[in-house]
This record gives sequence, C-alpha cells and structure tokens, in this order.
Amino acid sequence: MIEPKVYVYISETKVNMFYEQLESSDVRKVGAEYGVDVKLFKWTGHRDRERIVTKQDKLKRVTEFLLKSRELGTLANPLRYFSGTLEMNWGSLAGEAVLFAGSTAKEIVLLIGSLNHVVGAAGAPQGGIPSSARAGAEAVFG
Amino acid sequence: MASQARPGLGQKQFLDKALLDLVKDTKKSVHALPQKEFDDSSNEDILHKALKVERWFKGTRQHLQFIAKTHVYSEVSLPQNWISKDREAYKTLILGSPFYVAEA
Repeated sequence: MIEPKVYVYISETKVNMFYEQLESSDVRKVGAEYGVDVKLFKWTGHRDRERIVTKQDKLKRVTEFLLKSRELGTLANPLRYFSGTLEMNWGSLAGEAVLFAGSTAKEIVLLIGSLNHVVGAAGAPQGGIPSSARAGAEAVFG
Repeated sequence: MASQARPGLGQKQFLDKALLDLVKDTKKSVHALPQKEFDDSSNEDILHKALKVERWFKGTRQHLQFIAKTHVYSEVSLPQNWISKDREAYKTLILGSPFYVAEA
C-alpha cells in the first residue's frame, strides 16, 4: 500500500544527478531485456503516451536505489549515505540555507542544504550565514 | 571555549560565524570523508563548531525521516561544561546533506 510522505526538503540537484545516471543505465537494460514486450504492447493497438517524469518520480527512483545500496548506513553506522528518523529542529538561516539538527544519546546529526530545495515554507528563521557563504554552501550541500 | 559563546544576545552573530566556518571547513574536508576518526587535530575545530551550532540552533521541532550523503562522521568529545552525570562525554557527530527530509 502506498503511503504518501509529507516532504519538507527535496534536493533536486542530487536527485536529478542520480536519476539521470540511473535512468540511462535502465534504458540500456530495458532495451536489451524487454524488447519483445515493447513490440507486443504496440501490436495490441494501445497508443503510446509520453509519460511526464515528475520530481516525485525521480525521488522515488533514487530513493529505491539508495535503500538497496550497500553504501547506505544508519545513524549508528553511517556509510557513504545514511538514513534515519529523528526529532529535529529545523529552519532557515537568514534566507541562505536550511539546517536540520537533532541528537540521540550517542549521535549528533546536522544536515545542511540549500533553502531553494525546501518544500513549502521553512521554519522559523534563526541565526544565519552571510551572502558570501551561499555559493559555497550550495556547492557543497546542493 | 564553549562557555564564551552563549545564546541570547549575540547569538545570531555567533551562528553566522560558526555556520560560515562550518561550510568552509566541510568544503575542504568533503573529498576525504567520510571516515570514522580524525588524526588531524585541525579537524577538531569543525567538530566543536558543529557541536555549538546543534546546541543553540532553534527552529521548528518535528519528527523527521531522511536520507543524506555523509560528509563528516567522527567521534567527538563534548566540552567539559556540557557534561552532566546523565550525559556521556563523547558523541558521534554526523554532518551531511539530505537527498530528502520528510515528516516521519
């Protein structure tokens, strides 16, 4: 059963980068393995419709890839990537970046991203970073 | 060290500086990370900046789930004046950038 999520942040930069790489490898795979199915589909007279790939579609594809990846760790054992569920304080930083901050008994987690990728309104602004840091922040945290 | 930068008056300026430094330091470190421990003592600075930011940052509190890229992963000793009898002296600091964050 599909359980829709309420997103507060989606990094389109990262998602697009990963999606394009995953999709190009999928096209090659599908072309090789399912060529016959494609022909049958056309023979039955269905009209091909160009599917619009939304941001959510891309995120779903990338998330599936990451969840299956051996490089996805946890809060207790982060690897190249990590996932978790946590009580966090989050908000914009003087209109420049967004920070998600939380902690457990053993870990302190800080996630920093571009304010451009916040879905909807960011939380109460606290603190901030100067405009000069914006380019650097986006380059690193996307 | 930690006690010199108190929340309240000057908090915004403190966070401005700390976050700017954090971004710069992380940018320098990003190619070498993640790794579990730092031998290089120059990295100690970024860890304590991150500790302060986490401690004093106030925002909207929510139960969130996320997947992120790991940039820094290191055990860090807490400043002496932050440690109480029910708190451990060490924590693992994880600094990352999210692919997504959603309500849990």
